[in-house]
Amino acid sequence: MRFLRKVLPVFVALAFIFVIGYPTALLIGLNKAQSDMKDRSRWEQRSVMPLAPMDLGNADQLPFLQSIHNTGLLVNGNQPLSLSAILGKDAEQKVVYTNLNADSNVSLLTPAPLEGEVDGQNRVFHTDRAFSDHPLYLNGRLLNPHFEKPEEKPDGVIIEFNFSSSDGVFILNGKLLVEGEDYHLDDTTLVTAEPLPLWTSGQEPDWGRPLRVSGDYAWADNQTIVLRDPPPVGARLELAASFVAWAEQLSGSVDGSNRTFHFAQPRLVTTDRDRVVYVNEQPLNNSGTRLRNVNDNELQFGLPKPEGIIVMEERIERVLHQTQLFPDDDYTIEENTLTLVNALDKNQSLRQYDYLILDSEFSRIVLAKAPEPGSVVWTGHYKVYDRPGCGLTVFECFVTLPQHPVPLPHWIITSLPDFFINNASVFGQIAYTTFGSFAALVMGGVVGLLLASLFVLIRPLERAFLPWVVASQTVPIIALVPVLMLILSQFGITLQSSILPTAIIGGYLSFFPITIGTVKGLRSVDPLSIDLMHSYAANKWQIFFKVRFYAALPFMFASFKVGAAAALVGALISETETSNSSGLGYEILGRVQAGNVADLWILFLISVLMGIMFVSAVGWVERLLAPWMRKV
Amino acid sequence: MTDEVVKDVEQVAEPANSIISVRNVNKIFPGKEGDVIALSGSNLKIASGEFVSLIGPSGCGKTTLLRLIADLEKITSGELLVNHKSPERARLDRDYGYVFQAPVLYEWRTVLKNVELPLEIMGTSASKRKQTASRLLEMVGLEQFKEHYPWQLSGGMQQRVSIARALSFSPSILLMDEPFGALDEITREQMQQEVLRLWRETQTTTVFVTHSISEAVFLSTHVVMMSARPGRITEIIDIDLPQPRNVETRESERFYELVTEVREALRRSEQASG
Repeated sequence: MRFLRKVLPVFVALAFIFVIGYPTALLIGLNKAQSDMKDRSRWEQRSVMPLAPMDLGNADQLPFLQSIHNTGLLVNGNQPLSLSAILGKDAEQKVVYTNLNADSNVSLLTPAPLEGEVDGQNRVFHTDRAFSDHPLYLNGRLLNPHFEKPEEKPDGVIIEFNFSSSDGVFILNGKLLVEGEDYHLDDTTLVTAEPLPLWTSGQEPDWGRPLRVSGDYAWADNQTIVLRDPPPVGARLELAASFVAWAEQLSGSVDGSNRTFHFAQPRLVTTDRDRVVYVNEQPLNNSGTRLRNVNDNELQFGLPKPEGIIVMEERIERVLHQTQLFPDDDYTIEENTLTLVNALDKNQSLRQYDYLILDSEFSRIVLAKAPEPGSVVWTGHYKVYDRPGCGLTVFECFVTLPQHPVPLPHWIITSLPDFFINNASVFGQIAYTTFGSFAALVMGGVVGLLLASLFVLIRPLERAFLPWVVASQTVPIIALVPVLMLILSQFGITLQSSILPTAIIGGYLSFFPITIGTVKGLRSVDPLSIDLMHSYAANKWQIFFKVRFYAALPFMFASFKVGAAAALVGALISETETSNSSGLGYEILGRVQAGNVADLWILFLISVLMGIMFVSAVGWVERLLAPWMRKV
Repeated sequence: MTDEVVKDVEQVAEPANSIISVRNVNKIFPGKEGDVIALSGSNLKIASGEFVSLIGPSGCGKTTLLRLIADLEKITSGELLVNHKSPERARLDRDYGYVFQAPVLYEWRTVLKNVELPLEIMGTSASKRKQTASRLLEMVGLEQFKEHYPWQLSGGMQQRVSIARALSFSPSILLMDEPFGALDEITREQMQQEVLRLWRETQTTTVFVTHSISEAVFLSTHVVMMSARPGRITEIIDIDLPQPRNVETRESERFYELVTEVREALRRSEQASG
């Protein structure tokens, strides 16, 4: 029986975790995993340095393709190459390519699944992922995405939309419009059967307005492709989910002094900003380094590198404007210090770049430092959105969720060691909060016992003040804390300088149960006990300290247990004040702001444990001070 | 103190001898549904060293009378003298010890500390009160339970502690309100024997409230019969059983005669009030 009594609470707690914890975690977690899988911004997006250009005439082996040749679509220029046609394996199990020459421009594309019948009539295809900027191939031919949008914007009233031509099909919001049903054509004007709902320009891209598919195809929404002409029966329609641009050697003389190079027109690179420039195998920093003021002089900046292109950057209405600065005209350089001729405005900043893509129209790249003779200067781009970053199945995603809203209980336990290793300071914070809570309990205890004693000894006081004591607890503590901090700060008392604010806030919460419990306890004395004291002609104080006090102890300790928990709550609340920077409450607030769910759960558990410890501690004190109560 | 046994309270009225004197005492409890007359026109004189039992049906005012003597209630009218003074004076002078039906032990005090409590309140030195309390515990046969807490004792033992406590400051009067009401028959008889022995040893005038006729007869020098509605004293019977009393006393013929006499007197007073 004794054993059972000890084990039962643990068992109940475990059962609770299993019955409530796991199903909740699974329900919420799987739901989140599912939405994560669909969220393209969370997809795996790798940037890998491509192989440097090589003399394809001599290199007839492409070892890097070995691992991906089953998953990719190899493209020479814009022409896909049949894998089986160009790839074979030699005796050494190396992938051998046959059809490429030195002018070949090879890309590797990972295909994305496309849904839709290729029956000679269907022209609408779906993909389960959002690939609206990825290339589409029909029988190996790169198709041209293009649509025309009308001048008119749907406003809930107009039904006429003017186009330059009536060729092709029309799409709206992921759907192919059906002539005669959704619209009819009046020359080149599309007249919809019903007014379209209001379209706002903030709604990009243009899927909210009717579009004419003027190219080979157009995206009707993130996941829907509409072809202008239905692909013929048996046609191979392939959507690339990834693209590897084959490294391209930049043209320009590598003589040790030339810094200007040219590249061919952009091909599969979405923007020039994605283009990375390499000298030999070394990628150059394409994001630049911000320069900081030195010597307390707003004209002088430290230079991280001796060579660099200095650019002044300025954001005007969220658009980044870059202006190249030139030595002597705009600045001078002396021993790693740059001195500007003209001071910067408040919104302007300086950056140092290794290279600058000056204008993509002229396909010109200027390097900060002229490459050594014999270097290979090239550019490359590799980007993959081939699958959800979290995994291929919902469960896989669930297991690898970076931030579990409700983690599986055992995850919390297994992440404990890491948490304490990474957050060694948390022990200090626990000690700080413990001290704060203790101070709060002492404060609440002193006030509570004093009030209760006064109420019992002087009855009118109870009638006068008990309603206020009760009313004090209806004040939302969250609203009270800032006001209290303001008042205390007038006396120079802040959360940093003193434990007093914490003690007052925790005390404010804990004095109430202690007052009520103690009053009840002091009143709960057996009347015969008092009669007996009268028979000894005991005075009021003797009755109070020898009988009432002791009779009240069980109630007092019970109320102190409640008060201890309240003191902890108060301490934590006071620590979440923004001016504060220590304690568990501060840690919790920091994790909330950082969105660190895993740590939050651990901190939550620590708080729970602290609460249990506090209440148990009161129990220990009770057993120590009142051994006679052991019978209960 | 005198060993004289007062035959009839009404006949013998020497104030010097009557340690408790009740004269025309009325006690009325005001209530919402009319006043309750707890005690009406009661007269009683108890001489020093006597053992007087108050017996009667529930509601006859025995406990009220005892509480009036103890100054735990105030009389409504009449005159009540305890040790020739007002009950309040007597209480403040600690002239009596009171034993309730329940032991009323303070559970946070050990047995010894419970017995010491009255002395503690009276400001007796620590060594003196420990000595006195130990002696009294020895007297009630509980010296080996000194350091126990009350909950570790049986009901009978608890009541013995309570009696020891009432006697700790050697009051001249011991007031007992059905002290053995909650005890089983065997313990009860043992306790009666104990009380008689203590009474003989301490010579303390004892007023004893009881429901039990045989208990009243066995213990008392006088049995005071009371009846209910309104509570009043109807008759007083002398108990002339020889001292010291023991098991044989219980089995004597005279004991049975007296028990019968008390029972009939009670019935008479019931009929009178009925």
